Amino acid sequence: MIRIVAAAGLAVGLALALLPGAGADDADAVLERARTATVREDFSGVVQIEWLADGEWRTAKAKVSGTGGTVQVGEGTRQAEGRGNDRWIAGVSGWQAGWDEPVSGEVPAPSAHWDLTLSRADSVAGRTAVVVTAVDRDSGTARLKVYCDKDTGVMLRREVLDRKGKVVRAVGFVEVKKLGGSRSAPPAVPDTTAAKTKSGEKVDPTPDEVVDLPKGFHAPDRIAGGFVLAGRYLREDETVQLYYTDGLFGFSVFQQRGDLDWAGLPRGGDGIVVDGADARGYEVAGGTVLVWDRDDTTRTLVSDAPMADLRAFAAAFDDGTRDHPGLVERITDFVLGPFGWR
Amino acid sequence: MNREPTMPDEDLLSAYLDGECTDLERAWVQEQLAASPEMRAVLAEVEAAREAVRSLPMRDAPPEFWAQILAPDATPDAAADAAPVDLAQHRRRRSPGRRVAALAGVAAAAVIAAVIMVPHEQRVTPPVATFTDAHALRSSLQDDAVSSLVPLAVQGGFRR
Amino acid sequence: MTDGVPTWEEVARDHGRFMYTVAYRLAGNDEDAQDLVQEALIRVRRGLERYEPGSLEGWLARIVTNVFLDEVRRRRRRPTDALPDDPERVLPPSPGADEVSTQLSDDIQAALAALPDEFRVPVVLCDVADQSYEQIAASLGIPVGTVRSRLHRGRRMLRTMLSEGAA
Repeated sequence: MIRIVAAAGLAVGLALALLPGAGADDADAVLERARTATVREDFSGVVQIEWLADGEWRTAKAKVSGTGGTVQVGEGTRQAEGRGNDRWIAGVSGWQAGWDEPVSGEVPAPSAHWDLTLSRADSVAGRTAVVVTAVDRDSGTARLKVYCDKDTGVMLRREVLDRKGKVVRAVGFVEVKKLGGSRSAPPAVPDTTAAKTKSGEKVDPTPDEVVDLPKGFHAPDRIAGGFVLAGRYLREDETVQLYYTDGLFGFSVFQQRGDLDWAGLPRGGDGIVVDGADARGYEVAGGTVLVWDRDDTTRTLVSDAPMADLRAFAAAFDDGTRDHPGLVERITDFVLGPFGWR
Repeated sequence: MNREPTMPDEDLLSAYLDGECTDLERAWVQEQLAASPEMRAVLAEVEAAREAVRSLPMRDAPPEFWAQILAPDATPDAAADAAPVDLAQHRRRRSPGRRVAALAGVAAAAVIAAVIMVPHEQRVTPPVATFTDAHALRSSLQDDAVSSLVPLAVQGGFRR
Repeated sequence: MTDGVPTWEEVARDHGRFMYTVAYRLAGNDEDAQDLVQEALIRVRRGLERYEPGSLEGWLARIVTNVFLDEVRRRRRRPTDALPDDPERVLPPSPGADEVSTQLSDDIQAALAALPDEFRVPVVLCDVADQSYEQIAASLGIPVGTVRSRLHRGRRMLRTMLSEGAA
């Protein structure tokens, strides 16, 4: 099911959707509108990330703004910027290009795999909001809540819930200084510092989308649980990045040739088992991360979903890379059942 | 180059970043940060430097290094009783066949060498912080750009 | 391991890379780092008999640092072998690194190596070896306040060098 870009008349549709009985189509439309709202609207404020790690809540804040379709987050030597399909990251040595490939893969609509409801919400950062709640069809548990500004459709807050319905991660505005209104001209594109090889040649640090992967790497088109492969990328360090999505949660799988050097991993993290393989898991501001190796490749999985979901995805991915016709479907219930993920 | 602190108790900023302040000191720093753009600018500087060093990867010795350390024909007892080594003297005697006193028996040396000396191309260290950023960049194309990109602008990453 | 005390083999296997990384960040080049680690491992071998189970990597970082400082002191007594104190000195990237390395990582390492020893050591112990101020103070035999001050000044110098390099 291909996502359809919302039409301009959505504002009227949105008002109607707040009546009792607002259904999946309306919720889908709200989410679609939110996806592009920060490009359409100028805004500025402060966003906070909250995440649960080792049983404790951690938070981090950043200034954000949108000007003429350019989104800017952070300041000083820790910034990122996005315009169209281009992304840039600033470090201590200046700006570098981070991404320049469009989305070309099929993207499922959220309602294809989730039960969505749309309702009024308490205000977020002083803004009147509506909330889309995504419920797991099998367990009946809410797993995601997306709060959107009623006037502009801008996403104000995204809450990720675990299989018990408890919030484990959230990102959202804590202060809104400007939202909507007149648009300004976009700022100039960042002046980037080129990455170089040891011999001084410039290298392109942005990944390239590819159709065929190097030998030894696998890319199942679908992963049990409704995930569709939406991009295959080859990075300049010969790592493969696959991006999967179910319309609400995105998962990146990075593959490198060779066994995992455990001693090189960051400190901390938890020991996890993925279908019999040892793995290490981390909860950080940028998401949940799982690292393991199998079949001579080291795999790193990143998402903002909870760890149980990553563990199940990893097991399903590993199974999907093996030559077992029909096994993926049979193993779905076994792998995902204990976690109540679907 | 040797910049002296420009503000009283400016050193507290690094301690604040590292969580090495008392409660009173932390409260004082937070008060100063709220009131002083200069102080905030200095904090941003030291935070950038701190993160830069913390972002450096682990460093591997060349494979032959561990082979020399664990040379099978050296004796552990000789190593334990040897006088402290003058490294400058060591360097002047360096040669391809250079040995240093081994610190383990032959069997252990073989095991350790096999673990430590695994050829670089067979073991990989995933740059997890870079991968986390790359995921954020890709997600931002398809989902709300602000919430996807914000992790790139904050601390709260991996510990070295 | 016996009673929480590792064997030398376990130290080399599980922490050799950590020791080498600390040594490399202190010394700034692979040749000196190898010498530091060799000497440090000899001291570890001797010291294990007296080691009290606790922060093993803290203990190892202290040994590597002491070896580094001993070497620095020896070089100062021999002017012909002395390392220049010029903070503008920039070391080239060392051989053996990955085939493709970003300029960013090289710049940071070069700036770190260019710091005077008294500032580089606390920065490495804090931000590479992950030591607390108390551990750093114990390793260097200086008060915690001095650790705080040198660390802060080292970071500001580092930031200045990195900014000037990017300009």
